[in-house]
Amino acid sequence: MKRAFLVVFALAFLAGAAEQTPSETFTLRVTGQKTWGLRLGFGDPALLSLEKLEPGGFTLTQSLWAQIEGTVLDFLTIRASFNDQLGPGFQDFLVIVDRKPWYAELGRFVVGGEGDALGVYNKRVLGARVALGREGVNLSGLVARLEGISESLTFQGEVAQAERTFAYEDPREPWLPAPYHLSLEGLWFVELRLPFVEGFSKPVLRFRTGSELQEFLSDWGLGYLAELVQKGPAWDLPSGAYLVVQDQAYTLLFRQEPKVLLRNRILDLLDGYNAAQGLTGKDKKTYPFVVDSDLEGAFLAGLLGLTELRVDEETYPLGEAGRRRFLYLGEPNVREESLALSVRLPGEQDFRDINDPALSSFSYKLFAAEGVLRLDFPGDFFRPGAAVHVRFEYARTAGAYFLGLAVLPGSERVYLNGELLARDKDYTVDYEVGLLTLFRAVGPRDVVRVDFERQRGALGVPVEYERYFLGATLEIGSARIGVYQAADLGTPSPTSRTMPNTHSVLALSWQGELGDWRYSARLGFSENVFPPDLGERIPAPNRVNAIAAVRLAEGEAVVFAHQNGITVYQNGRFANYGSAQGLAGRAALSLLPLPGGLLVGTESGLTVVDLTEPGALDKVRSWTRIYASDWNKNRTERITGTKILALAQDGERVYMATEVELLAARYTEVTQPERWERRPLPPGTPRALLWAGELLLGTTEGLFRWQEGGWTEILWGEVFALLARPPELFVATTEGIRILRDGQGAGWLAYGEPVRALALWEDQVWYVTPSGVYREGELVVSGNFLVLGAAAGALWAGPQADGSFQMDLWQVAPTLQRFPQAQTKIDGRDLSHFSDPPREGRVRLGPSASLSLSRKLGDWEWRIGLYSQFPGYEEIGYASRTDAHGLSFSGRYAREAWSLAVRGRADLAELTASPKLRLSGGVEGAWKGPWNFSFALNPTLLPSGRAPTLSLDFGVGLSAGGNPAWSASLSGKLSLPELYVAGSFGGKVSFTLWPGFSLALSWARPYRSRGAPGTETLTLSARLSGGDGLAWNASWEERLSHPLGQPSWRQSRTLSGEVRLPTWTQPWGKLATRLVGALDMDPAELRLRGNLSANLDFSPNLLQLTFGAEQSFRPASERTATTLTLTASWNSMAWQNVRPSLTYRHTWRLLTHPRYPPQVTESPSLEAQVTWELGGGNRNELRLTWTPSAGMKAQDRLMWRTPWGPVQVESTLSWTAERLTGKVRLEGGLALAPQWGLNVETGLLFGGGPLRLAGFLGATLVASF
Amino acid sequence: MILVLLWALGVVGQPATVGGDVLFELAKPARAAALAGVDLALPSWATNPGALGFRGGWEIVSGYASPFFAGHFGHVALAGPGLALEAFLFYSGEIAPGLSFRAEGGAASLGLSLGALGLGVRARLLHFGQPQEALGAALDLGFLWRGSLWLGGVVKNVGSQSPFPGEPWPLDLACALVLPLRLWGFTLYAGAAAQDLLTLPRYAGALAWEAGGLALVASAGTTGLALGGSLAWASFRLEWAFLGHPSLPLGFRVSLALQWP
Repeated sequence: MKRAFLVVFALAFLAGAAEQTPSETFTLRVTGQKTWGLRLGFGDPALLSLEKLEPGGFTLTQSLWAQIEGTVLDFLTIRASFNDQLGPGFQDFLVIVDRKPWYAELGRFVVGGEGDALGVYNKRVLGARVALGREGVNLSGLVARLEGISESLTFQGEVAQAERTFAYEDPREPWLPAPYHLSLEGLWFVELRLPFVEGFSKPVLRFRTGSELQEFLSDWGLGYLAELVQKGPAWDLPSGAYLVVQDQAYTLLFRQEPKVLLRNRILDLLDGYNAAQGLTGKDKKTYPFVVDSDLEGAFLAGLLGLTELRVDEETYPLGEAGRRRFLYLGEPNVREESLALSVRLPGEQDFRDINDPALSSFSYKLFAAEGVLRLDFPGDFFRPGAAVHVRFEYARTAGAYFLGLAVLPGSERVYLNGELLARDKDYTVDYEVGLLTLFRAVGPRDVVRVDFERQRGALGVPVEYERYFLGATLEIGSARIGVYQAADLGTPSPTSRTMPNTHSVLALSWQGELGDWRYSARLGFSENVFPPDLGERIPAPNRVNAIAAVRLAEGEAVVFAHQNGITVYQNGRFANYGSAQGLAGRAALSLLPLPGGLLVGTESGLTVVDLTEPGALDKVRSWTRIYASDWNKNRTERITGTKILALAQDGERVYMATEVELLAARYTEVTQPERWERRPLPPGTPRALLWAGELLLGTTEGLFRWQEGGWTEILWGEVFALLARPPELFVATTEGIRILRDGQGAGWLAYGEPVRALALWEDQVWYVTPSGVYREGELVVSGNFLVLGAAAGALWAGPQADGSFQMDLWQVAPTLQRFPQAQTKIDGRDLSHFSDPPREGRVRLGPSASLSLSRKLGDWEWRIGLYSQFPGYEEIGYASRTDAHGLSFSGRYAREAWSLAVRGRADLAELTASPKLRLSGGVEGAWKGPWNFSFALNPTLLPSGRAPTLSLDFGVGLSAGGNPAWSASLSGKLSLPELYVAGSFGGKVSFTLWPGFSLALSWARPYRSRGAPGTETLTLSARLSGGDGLAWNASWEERLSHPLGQPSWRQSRTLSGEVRLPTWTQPWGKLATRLVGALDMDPAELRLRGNLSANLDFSPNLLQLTFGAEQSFRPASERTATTLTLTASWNSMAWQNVRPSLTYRHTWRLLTHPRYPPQVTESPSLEAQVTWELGGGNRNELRLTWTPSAGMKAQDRLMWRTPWGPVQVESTLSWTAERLTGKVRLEGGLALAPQWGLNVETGLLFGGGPLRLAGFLGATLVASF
Repeated sequence: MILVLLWALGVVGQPATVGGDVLFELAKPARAAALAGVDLALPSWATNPGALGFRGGWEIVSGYASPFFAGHFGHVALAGPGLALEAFLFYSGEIAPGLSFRAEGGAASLGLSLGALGLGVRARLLHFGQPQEALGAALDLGFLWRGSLWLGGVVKNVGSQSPFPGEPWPLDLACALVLPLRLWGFTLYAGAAAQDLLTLPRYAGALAWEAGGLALVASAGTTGLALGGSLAWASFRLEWAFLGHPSLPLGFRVSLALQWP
């Protein structure tokens, strides 16, 4: 009905607008261009691929962009911008109707003006809004489709915050192990015996070739790879797959799990084998294992034992690599002082701080630059249940903020410390990559918040509901009332995971003056039905649908079919398989073991598993999926069922009951659905299928027998299960177990209660009723069981999960044994069927109110505020909500020389749960005279809780200008009752001894009453400059720092200088030279660099020569790097129409180390260019380039104007890797008529060794308007 | 009329159909796409061959789209009095090593008018080149009645051969009703449509406002909300459409027509 409302609303609006008498005025301006292109290639495919063409294939291209702006009928304004090469997010269209008293917009617009008062911020919408204003009364309304989902990101200065929890279990799915990078086992590591030298040391993984490896590969069916492995046993460890930290020794850590590296290597070898053998299609060799299966795990574990790491000719067997020591935080450049570590011991629920006395034997070390934490924890800590939680800050790139993809253009609001910034003035956003760049300087403590909208269903991902935004506002004078609603439209399907959300806000605001007071008040109320965090639908409980015994090569196993797949139990271990492994559907409904195989009937098809090979279930090739679409291929008689509800076999044929028909197939033809035979079903939905000398089918309507091409009814009423114990047939019904002999009733085995399942065990009939499992009348175990099955020498019972999604499997005979979910790893939820949760408890509603008063009293400006917001109140578009109430005042006094500000506030948080009062205030003052003085005192009292706490932020500063100039400051924080003081004090003096010579000394020392106090720094710098003709400057900076508590100071210094010689003028020209040099001395690296450049201007020629040198030494690794750079260039303007230029660059890089031979790399390059001006606007450019890697390339471009249009001839010749390639391309433009043009192009491509040729033709028709 | 419209609009929550001939749907000019089937009862040859008999001039329409960045789709069509020819090409690019989709298609339509009644026939051809060769064809019949109310309908796949055996092109029916209202210097069209009545029915209502060369269009129905329009000047006509969908991101189309004489 909302859609109906929209269109009727639009109809009413148009009729209203039409009441005005329009004139036929059209002042629309349309600009744009449309192109149609056609290209055809012929000849060598490889050459054509460079032009994105295929031989003999046409390529058709089109493009269109258009902009419309103007007015229609005097009152309609249209603005539109379209470009079919960009996505929908970049198209704009807006029709504005402005004819008083009407104002309306139709198209795409941003809802933002209402935000401050109505809890709606700039949402980008597609729809319509209308406003009607008359004599101080304004009424407006809008109906629109929401395009984005609100998101908010907060950044603190150049620092970002992160948290990691390392455990053994995946936090979201605790029955699964944690992923490698979050596993408490930590990274695999190898301690290196020799120092790791960057640039020299190259880690390599290598298979230990030999008969053992050959046998291993053969054992696993990969013997054909042995030859390839033998030829290339080693491969470089990718640079992103490892990192090295320097502790007592150098340690190499595997960022990528070794088993993944080995799997990737095997995949590469398979690709290589297929390419070498020319195998394609079905003949291609594929990875034979199900990824992450037990079988693959065993294979990779075996392969790990045959692999070694080699670094600097030292060999380290991978099988001996360690774990349980290094955790990877995932971000480099961690701020050490921000690290907060807590530990959960096995068997405990809560985390303890690492400084807890109980953890005295636990220690750690942070490798801040690499973002790695080394744990020295007791060995018995590493058990299931244990966990480590780390919270930290890390340095991030300044100025750039990545928002992610699919940000809706124009939807963002950017705040710097609460101040709203302006786009293009303070920041810019590249919406295509989602990158925000700030133009404002951001300090370490500044907070940047970005609210924005991300495209709903970005990148084609479906969303569950369409979302609409509608509402209205009425303004009367200075009062305004508005009601808005954002609502999901649609009905949940069985697989929908969330409920449709409806969020409504009502707000009333008014402002005015009362005597000398100005006031502004606001009242709001919101109701949020099924908000995102409460809108999850309830998954159905998982249930076991069937149990069967199968014979694997390794022995007998039990298979449990349930709503999330199948679970196989063998040798005390459970393994789960789902659609990712090979099942045709998520829910497994029925099972049928066959000799050497297993049929699994699912909700959307049939799976056939070939069990003849060892480890068959873990091998991809064992699984065959057959879907409904396959069933009807090459069939004249259609099969319409999709669910395989029941399975049976008679020793020769397999029978499958779907929801619509019965299918029959021979064993050998079960994977050939075109040969299946189709039979009708009797009344009802199939429940049980049994071959007992004849085919019997139990349905929801009765029991039927297949006889002479049709079904005959035996029993009436719902049938759940069938069991044959010749000559008896047991039928589980809603009344009990009916016994039939020769198709005739022979009494009841059980009566009075529905029976769900039947099984025969040691010649006794076992059955399941709603109260539990029975053995011929005797209750064996209570519970909500659904099926029974005899397998692997035992009788098993399969339940339905309980309300808390607990679902244990049971062995009921010969002994009673429970297998808990932690062991079976079966999810207790059915993740493909959901039901609606009750509305109770999933609706948030609450009020919000605020009042602000302000007035002037002499030189004082006073402001009083009162606010209250309950947690149920939420603004549309904001994810956060608060339970906060308070009262505040502020006063500011300002005179010429001094200023004073006082403020105070009382805030009450969590009023509805556990009230917490917070009293805060502050006094700030400043005086400007010969000296400048400032102070700030900001106390905060938290009287709630067991122990009231007081904290005081304080700061005092004193400074003076002039020469010398100086400043001193003390700042910090004091808190009580547990006395804690932290802050810093320091000062700076700068003195200019004479013009051109200045000295500066700065010092900062932190203090902290407990914990790591920080680092004290002392910096002395001097700068000297001078010269008249000979200009020079030199600077020196000496930096001393040490962490407090460590007496040794770290010393680093930088010396730099620059000399510019006077320009040497001679009759033949001028010479200008410049010399720059710098020396950086740091304990980690010593670096000397210099640069000499000379410009020789002997007009009309200009010669530039630059020589650069840099040498660095790293004491830790003893590596020395030397880089020399030479650049020479010549430009000439000696000829009127010819401009030649020549540039030569050469860089040498030398790495030396006491243990390694020197490494020298050279990269020369040469570029020559000549431009001819041929008159009449015609010109030719010839460019020659050469580098050792790219070879030689010559490129010539001739641009010629003809009476019909411009012509361009572009010729390229390349000599790379001893192969010659070239291209000649002719392109001409032709003006066909006003607004119409034609571009034609033709080209020839050629390549040598052996000679190859290709050509292309193309034409593009252009319409400009 | 309004009751019919409201009834059509009130039916929500049904899934949008994606038939075997979805590529022909993509080849519709933008404005026709925004009308959600209501253009069956408008002189829109792209949807209803029965409208061809009412055409007075010739036009070439073309457009390009990259639906959800999942490929490239280009179409071009020529239409004149009683005749229309269309062609389109879809190419997905390489989705995975050695896997890509490529399809070419076209349609030829003939129509005539007998007073207020227009009749037409359309033959459609679809060829898949990748990942496997397949050919499909279908024949549609259409009619358009232009009285005080305009009524249009198409019987799709009167005869058909689908490219793939498991994905038939079944017989189907679509119809629409439009009330044209000539008001103060402009024309308002209000209409409702029911499509794919024999398979997965879709319903929609639409409004189109025309003044001079400008038209604005809005439709809503079981396949979502759409807004669009067209602007004609000199010998060009630019058309655009924003197409909402209940569970997919917003779609967009733009096309340009060259008209003469």
